[in-house]
Amino acid sequence: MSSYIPVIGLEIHAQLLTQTKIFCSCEVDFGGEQNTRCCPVCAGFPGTLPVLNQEVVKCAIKAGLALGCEINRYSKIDRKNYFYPDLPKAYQISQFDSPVCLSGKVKIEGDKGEKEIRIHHAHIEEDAGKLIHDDIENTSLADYNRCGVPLLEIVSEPDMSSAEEARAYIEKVSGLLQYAGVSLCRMEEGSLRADVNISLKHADAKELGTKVEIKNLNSMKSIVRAIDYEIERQTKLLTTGEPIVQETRKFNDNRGVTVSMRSKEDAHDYRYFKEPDIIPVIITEEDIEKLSKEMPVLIDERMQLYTKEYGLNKADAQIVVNEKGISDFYNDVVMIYPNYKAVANFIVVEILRYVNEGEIQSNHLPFSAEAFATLVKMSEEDIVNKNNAKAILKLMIESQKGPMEIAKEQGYLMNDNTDEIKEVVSSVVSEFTEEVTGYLAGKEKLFGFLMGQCSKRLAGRANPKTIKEILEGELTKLR
Amino acid sequence: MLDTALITYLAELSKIEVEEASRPKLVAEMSAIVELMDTMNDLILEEDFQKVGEGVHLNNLRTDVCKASYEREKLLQNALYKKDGFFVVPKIME
Amino acid sequence: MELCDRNIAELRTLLDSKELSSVELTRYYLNRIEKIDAQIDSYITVCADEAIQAAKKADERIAKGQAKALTGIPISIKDNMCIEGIRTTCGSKMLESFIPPYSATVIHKLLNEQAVILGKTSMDEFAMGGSTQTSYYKKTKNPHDLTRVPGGSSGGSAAAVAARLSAISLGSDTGGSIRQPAAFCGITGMKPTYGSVSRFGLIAFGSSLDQIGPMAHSAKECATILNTIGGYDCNDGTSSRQEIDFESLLGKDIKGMIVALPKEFFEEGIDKEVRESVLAAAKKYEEMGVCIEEVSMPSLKYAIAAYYLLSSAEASSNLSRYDGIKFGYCMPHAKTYKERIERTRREGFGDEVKRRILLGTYALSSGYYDAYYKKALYIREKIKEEYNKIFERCDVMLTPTAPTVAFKRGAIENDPVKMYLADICTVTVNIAGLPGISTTCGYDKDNMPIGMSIIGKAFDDAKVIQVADAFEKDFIRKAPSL
Repeated sequence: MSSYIPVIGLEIHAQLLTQTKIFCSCEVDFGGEQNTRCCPVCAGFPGTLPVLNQEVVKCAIKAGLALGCEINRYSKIDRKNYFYPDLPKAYQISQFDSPVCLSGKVKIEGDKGEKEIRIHHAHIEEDAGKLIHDDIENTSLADYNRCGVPLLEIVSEPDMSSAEEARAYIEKVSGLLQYAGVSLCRMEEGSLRADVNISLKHADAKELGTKVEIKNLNSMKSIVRAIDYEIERQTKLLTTGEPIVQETRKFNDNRGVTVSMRSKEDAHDYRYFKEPDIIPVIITEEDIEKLSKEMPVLIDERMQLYTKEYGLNKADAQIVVNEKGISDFYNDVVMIYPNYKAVANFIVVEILRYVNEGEIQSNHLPFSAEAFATLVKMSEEDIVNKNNAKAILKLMIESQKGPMEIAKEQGYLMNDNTDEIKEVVSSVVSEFTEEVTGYLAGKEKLFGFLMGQCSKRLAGRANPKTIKEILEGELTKLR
Repeated sequence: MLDTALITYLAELSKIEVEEASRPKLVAEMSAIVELMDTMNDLILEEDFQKVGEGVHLNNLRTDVCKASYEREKLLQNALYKKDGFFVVPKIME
Repeated sequence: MELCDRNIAELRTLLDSKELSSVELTRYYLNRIEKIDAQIDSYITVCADEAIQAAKKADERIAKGQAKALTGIPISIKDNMCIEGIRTTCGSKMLESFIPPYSATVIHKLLNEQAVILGKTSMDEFAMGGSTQTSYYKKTKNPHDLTRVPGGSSGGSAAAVAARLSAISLGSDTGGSIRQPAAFCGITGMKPTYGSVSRFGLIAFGSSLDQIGPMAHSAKECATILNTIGGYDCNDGTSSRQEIDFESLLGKDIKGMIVALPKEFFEEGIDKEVRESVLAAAKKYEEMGVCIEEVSMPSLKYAIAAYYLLSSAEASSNLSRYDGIKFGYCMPHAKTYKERIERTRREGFGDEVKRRILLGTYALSSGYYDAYYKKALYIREKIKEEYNKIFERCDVMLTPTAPTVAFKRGAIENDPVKMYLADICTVTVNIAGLPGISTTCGYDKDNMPIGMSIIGKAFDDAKVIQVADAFEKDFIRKAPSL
């Protein structure tokens, strides 16, 4: 076993849920044709001025409350200066030494049980634009639609020690932000990204190792892979006695490796100073109180409810709770059909499969809570069998029809019409004479075969118990 | 002290090309200017002079209401190089 | 009396009584510009067609009896305020072809009143200078003596008003850029309280110091202009919600006021004739029943350094957006981004602008921030404190506007250090965000105008105007002979 302990810190960039950009009144919306969601302010034209959106500060305060942060009463805005063609003003308006949220902490399920991850601070800032590289013309095409999209950068302390803990932390933070109603945290749409800081510390050493930053990771998969790769890479270097270079690396998704970003030829000196165009914001006790009242239920309270009241196991409860859309849906379903475990199980196994495959979105499920409650109930009460219940869910997603309608159309309803069962059983018995003889001669296993034949012909429409009784009766007669 | 190396560094930071030949003159000019700035050298700063200054209340910040974005053509009209609604930037060397 | 010698109140009466139409008045000024401006070089762009169109609209409005203070009045605008569809150069090659697709808030306010914009006036490049000789376009001359500078950076506006090439003008003032050229050209110019006039559409130099203000023949006219252009603007986050009626104290007695004379502003470095002229003005105030009190501003000795560090630091960041990609000059055929940006900025910016960018970058860069920028912030606090202390007791402060009268063209404008030192009398007002007005208080032996400044506490703009106006009532100015 390796004697190195990974020391991991994260910077999460979450897009705040506002109508307009952070410094101008352009609409914030995912997508849109290039340069159609911008104006002279976010494109950095001469003479234009940034005007801070109050909703951004309010969202940041709520996020801070959700992350257990202290809220700074005097929030200052700064400029971070660097040239890059996706940054039209050549400075990013951000916060340097007086951010909205000061230190906080969140609890995660760590490698060795519950663990607390400290948050150093969280600050508001503007996003940059997008560059599309045209390799044929040897140029880049700049689209400023994302310029000025409001972000909250949440900087953790280096408190994580594995990719799994990093994942748990991101899931936790993302859940908290969704619950606070301040971010959608959709990695696939770029509303959640992360930079990872990682170093290895020798088990006996006091001081930390050399830190490497991996920038701009935008899927959970790549975060986990990048961390695992980096731990392996650094371990190898350390064990062979090679030095680790303090640098910024990026993760190559195709090759599954991190590569150095070659500290460019430019010097990195951001020359932070107070943004003279924006007056600092004073946040009062009353502001915080008012905003905390607007906060919906928090994740930990739901966790308590699910494990203590509903009797879910911790793992299932965690999965349900992680995404607010799913948890809200779960709550709606159990209001209608309070079979807590069955509903949770169905969601965890079936719905999340489609969500993870990207076929449906957790906050826009294509069926109602009523329809889903009915489906779980049908399955639990053996109105349809378990396999058919899964098939019905698939068809509910595809056709948007109700579960009962689908069950009828597909002939999935359990049929306890004993006449039909008897008919099927007797035809099976007469057809498979060899097997019947074998069974009667003591080959008990063949009963299963005969059961299967009956079930197959009845296409899941009959309760297996009933089939079994009739088949046994029929065979007894032949003894 | 300001020297050619520092001027070169500052010019790089501010993305202004300075020809080799004009550097000594620039160093001389900038040194004279910095000398004027150095009248502050004798200052000893009191701790925490940057008090919590003026500030604006949350509710006096801009309300979160959309306005129509800009016509793309107007946004691009001053750019020398553009293509399909994008601003065109020469290759970025990294 | 010549039409161009009339003040805007008199022009208002003539226009409203239909003795004169705005179109006639506008043509009159356009003719003067055509005849005289070749000597002065005050305009970078003259907007003749737009002006006539605007004058026609103004006449329609006047005919309906809906005229406002500036309806139909010809005004010139410093070329760092954006007007939609009209080239705005900021005196720089960098913006040679820049046509803003939007207008500054002050422009909207002027156009809402149907004021007539004659054109855009010359200025030091990006407003960095005190001579208007760093303009990439017109190196403006002083109408009182064409061999001298008009001051700057709003030298085009000052010269245009002094030479009667526009009735009034708008300038901008970051460290004295309205007041110093007003003093040099023998007119009145005011920098109002920071935040009282929207900066939206003003091309930024030092954002925490920049203010737009009026340039005219009297404090009274300045007040009228400010009442039109001032007020809260939701497009400027530093805009103040405190309302000011700039005309509210005009004509009110100043008897019993205490006027502060800061001794550091009258020491060495201030030209003898200037000092005597300003002290003579103080005497006149005493005769009006004002009490003169000597005060001290010990931090003045650090003011130049603090001002240049603060303004250059902000400028270095504000001017980073000029990269040749979105607007402005673009060095063509660049192979790489680095080449595009570094060449564009080398060719697009003049020497003084580059020096300021380098100085500002230096002041903010790691390792030097504490020695420079942070100390400058400290001085800013100290100067504010010292002003607060003075205004606890005194109503206004009286200082020279500049250490000398207008200097000869070519004399010192190529020596940055000498040029910087010449701003000593004006920069503290910007550092502290206060209102300051410069008015002519005398002439030197060569008949060059001498300016004095009245400074007040923040939002005491009306009082500052009142005090300047009280002096102007009994002072006869000399018009330049052109």
